[in-house]
Amino acid sequence: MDRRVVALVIGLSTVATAKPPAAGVFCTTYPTSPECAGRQPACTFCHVAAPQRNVFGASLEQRLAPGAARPLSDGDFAMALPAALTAVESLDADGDGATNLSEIQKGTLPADGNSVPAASTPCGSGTNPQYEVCKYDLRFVYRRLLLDFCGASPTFAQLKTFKERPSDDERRAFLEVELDRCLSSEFWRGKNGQLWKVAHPKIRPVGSLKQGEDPGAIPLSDYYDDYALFAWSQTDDHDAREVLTADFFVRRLTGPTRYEKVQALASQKCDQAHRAGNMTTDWALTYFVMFTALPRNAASQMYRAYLGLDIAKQEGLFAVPNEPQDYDGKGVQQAACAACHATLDPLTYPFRNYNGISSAMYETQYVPNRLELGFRDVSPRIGQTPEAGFIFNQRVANLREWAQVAADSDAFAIATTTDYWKLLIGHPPRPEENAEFVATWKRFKNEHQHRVQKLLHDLVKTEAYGAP
Amino acid sequence: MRPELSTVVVALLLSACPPAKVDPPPPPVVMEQPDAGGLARSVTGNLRFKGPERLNADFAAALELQPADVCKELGQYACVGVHNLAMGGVDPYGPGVYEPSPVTAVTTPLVVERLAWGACAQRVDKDLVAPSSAVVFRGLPMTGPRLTKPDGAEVVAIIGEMTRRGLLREPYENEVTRYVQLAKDLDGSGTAEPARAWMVSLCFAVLSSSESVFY
Amino acid sequence: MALRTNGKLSRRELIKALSMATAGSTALSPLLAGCRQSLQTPEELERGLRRDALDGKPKFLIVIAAAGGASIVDSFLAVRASESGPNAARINCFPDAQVQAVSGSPFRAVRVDAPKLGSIPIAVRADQLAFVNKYKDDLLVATSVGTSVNHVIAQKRSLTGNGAWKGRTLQECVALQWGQGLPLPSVNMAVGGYTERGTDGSLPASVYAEAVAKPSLWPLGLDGARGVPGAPAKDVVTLARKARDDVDAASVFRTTFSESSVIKRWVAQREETSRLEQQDLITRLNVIPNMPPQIPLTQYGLETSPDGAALRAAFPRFFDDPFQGQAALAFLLLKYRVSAAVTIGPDFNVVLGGAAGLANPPLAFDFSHNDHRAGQAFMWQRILDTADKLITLLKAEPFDAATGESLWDRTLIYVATDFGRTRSRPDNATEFGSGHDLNNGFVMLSPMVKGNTVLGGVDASTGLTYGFDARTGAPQPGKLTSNEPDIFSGVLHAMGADLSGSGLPDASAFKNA
Repeated sequence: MDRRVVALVIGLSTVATAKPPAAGVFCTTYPTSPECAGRQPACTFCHVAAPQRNVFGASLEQRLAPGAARPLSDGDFAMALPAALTAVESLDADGDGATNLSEIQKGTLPADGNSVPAASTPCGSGTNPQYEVCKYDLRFVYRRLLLDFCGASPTFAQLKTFKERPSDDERRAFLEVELDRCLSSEFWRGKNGQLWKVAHPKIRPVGSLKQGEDPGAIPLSDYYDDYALFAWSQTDDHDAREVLTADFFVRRLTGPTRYEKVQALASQKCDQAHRAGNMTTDWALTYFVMFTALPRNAASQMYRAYLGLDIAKQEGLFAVPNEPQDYDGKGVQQAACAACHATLDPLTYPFRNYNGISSAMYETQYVPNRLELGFRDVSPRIGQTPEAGFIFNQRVANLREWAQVAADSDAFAIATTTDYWKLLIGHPPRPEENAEFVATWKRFKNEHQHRVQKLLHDLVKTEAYGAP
Repeated sequence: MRPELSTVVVALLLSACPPAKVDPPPPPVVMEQPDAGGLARSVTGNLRFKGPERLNADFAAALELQPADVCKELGQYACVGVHNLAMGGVDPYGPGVYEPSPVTAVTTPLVVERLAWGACAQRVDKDLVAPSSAVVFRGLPMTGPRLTKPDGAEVVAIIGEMTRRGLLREPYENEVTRYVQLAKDLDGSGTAEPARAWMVSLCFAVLSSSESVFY
Repeated sequence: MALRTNGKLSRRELIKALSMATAGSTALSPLLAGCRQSLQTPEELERGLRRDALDGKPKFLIVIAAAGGASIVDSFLAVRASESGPNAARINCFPDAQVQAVSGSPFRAVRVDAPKLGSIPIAVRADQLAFVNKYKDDLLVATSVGTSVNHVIAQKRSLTGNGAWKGRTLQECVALQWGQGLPLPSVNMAVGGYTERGTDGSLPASVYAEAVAKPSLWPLGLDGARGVPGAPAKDVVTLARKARDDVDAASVFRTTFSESSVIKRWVAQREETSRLEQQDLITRLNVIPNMPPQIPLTQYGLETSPDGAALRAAFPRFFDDPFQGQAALAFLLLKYRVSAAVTIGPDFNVVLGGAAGLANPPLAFDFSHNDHRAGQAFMWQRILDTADKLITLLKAEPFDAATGESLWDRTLIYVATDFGRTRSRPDNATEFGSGHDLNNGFVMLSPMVKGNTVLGGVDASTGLTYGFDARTGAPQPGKLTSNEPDIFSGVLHAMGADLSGSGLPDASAFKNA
């Protein structure tokens, strides 16, 4: 690889300047790999837990600048990696019968014998009185759409009427109308409805700590506010990014369920200038910051929940030079820890002034110099923790900037689309669905300007959804 | 089975007042069973299990029951609540099950059957107690606790009605044949109320079929 | 890859390995990664690994998932202040009087008397001595270092040894080894990462756990019709099912989707329903009593378990304390040979009640963020009390009349936990918060483990545990590296599982000879 390209990959890429820069070099070598569509492969593509390599990584290592002294510099590594990748293309590291190259091209994992490209089975011949197999089946979609969004099947009469519409175009138009109708249903947007189901793993409620409606045994906080903002952001003509960037709150009204934007709620304490959607709610700070000085849990949870990147699984690692600094003295500079903490710690710094429940006076609020005021004893350097941090190797001055970068990222669009792919198709996108998936999230981000309602209209038109 | 309700049903059937005549459902348009060898098959297997809310809603709608009444364990606790996880639901506030299981559980078929029996028994008993306002099982000639004609047109009509309600289509000829056979089998089985048994069983078979519970 | 499945290289693999050796490769190919141990294990040891597995009788694993991070230095490896030297004020060690020696045993037993539990105004009075005295001969503690301080990830790794055997969980291994033929080889009532499946896709579907959230009501779903108002008698149910299955099998729907994994699984599961019902599990596993009008079992043709009264006496709060309900059900699942592996554990929710007014604090062991000492003492007491009751029941339950074995003789309790806790505290503080720490230890209880044994040790000056040789048991002071596969292997070694081809480290030190 040309050294100038290497410099470009390491120095200028906004997406993939990891240290080492393996992920970026991989994507430069295989730009059409599904692993590289708006993201980069996780470290686990080659590693068990960095630096320990899996079978694919081990086969690469043997061919990576053979004879050169170790450790390789980042530059030498980046120069040598493409040749090593090429050298193992025809091999089958995990012994699953698919070559490494075919797995890279099809989006499966060359180090995992259980991850293998699906054999493309041709559609069988024959007829079928009930299903249009292997192609988009409007009748199949009608039933599925009503079940998914309204929560119940159509009746026999409704299905008959649907089939008797004069043309496929009219049937399609009718489905659009039905989808909009069902997106207003209680089943979809009401309390404990489908949108709330998407939100559960992000908000992670604990019933016994619930305050307000449906109180728990030790009422600490009302996470229904978080569900309200989430649902609001996913409905009507609202921008889904506001789940991270909102400086307002949302109130849920019932009979029927409506979500209403408000500037203040009695259950919320963060001041407007420092709000960042569901990252700074009373519940988020209570549960994910809690008593901690440097709330890595909060940062990693938001990264996982809204950007689909789980640092604990070595996803989304963008190591920042000279990190981790270990300001709170947790020993994260050890080699086994630094691999992840070089990303996680700078990701966390912008949370430094958001208090959890360690102080009754400043509960769940933004507190300037919070660490200096309340956590002096944690470590001698705790006060040196900056508020500026990094996300995707991009410097951000504070959490609101963090939220904006996150919300504008491809990762956010991919994660949002993945949420609904899982909900409505039943699994995360499979390699054979990759082309439709990529087209869908890109339209969500660009043409649809992050409107989930429009994303859903696109999604129900995919073959992944509608072809039996 | 709660014996006291069954006794009421039989008593009403045998009472001196003849039941009001209620028309049976329209006869089905029975479809010819296609040859399995020539049937185009799915290669993606693009199916999902309905889960507790949809199953409950669909069973309620098919049988015109209130969703809250579809099935209750010990007469009090909604089956979809008690068996929520087994039916593929979530339980975020208590044990912190934030996402549904991607596959059906070993006990899922059993709890689906419980839901179906509960709903079907209710509908059958409501229709038998008040035949003039019967919703599904209407116009079915009975001689005491038996079907007057287990292979009669009215039986076929009920099969069609149940299939339309549960599976949103007309029945195939093999389905009609098999469910008529079920009527005959129950008639000869020695069970105390073969007519009721057949109605409940037909409803159960349709609602708990794989075509009903997956989509 | 043949080596991993039958311990032998296939001809193709052998040629490949030889060609790489000829080409100057200093290591056998990555095909053999993880399998090296099984190549190097002496033959007699390999035979020994198989010995126990051939006795043909089931063994049982109970995983108690101590969610939130149960610290071993707040229990059986506690450190006295007098041992910690100049660091005593700043690390998590106890006043000497609170760390009780156990006669003839390397274990310690902590006693804590705290006026409150963090900001919760209930007193904490906990004493581990009685438990240790009672069970020390069946108790083994193995020190550990994990690889994640994320709750969910660490929870799962405590069950998989961080992918030690193709990503299988311990429960899946036990279900595969001893659970085949049982109705529900593995049942999981725990939370979070403790409920996650392993990643070995080659395992049969039967080994994956059945999830249970409401242990007291779950048995009601173990029969397709009994107790449902208006459901017909058994003979009618059988005819109805037959008709349904006949129609289903020939239906256009089923034929169209015949290759769907979802449908194949459904059909296989439906075929098992009669087998579940024949065992009358809706009765046998039903701990709830007939108590009309709230629980009118008799009115609906149902009964409480023959063991119901005894279990309700042992676990009086079985209905509103999920952990007690889980323990009661766990015993029944083993007694009636329903399962070979059962997972139970407290969750992060508050549970009120009990003598103190609180049965479970928020976040379970993770309450240590708020008040480490009292939180750990409280939760350890909760775990040990429940384990004590379970073991008592298991000891009293005969397993084999011919040999005189009880169920306890064939059971191993593994107290899994996320990770340890940080050791630092403000000078001499007795009320302080702690974070997550990779350094810890695991508890195992069973006649099958090498009892009265600590594998590894504690550096009293830091409070950190150090490691050991998993084969010989020799302590290795200064060893602070991850040993997740050793713990995983240790559980299976102790149980006498067949580990041939697994590539697991030799963990003979865990096993009772």
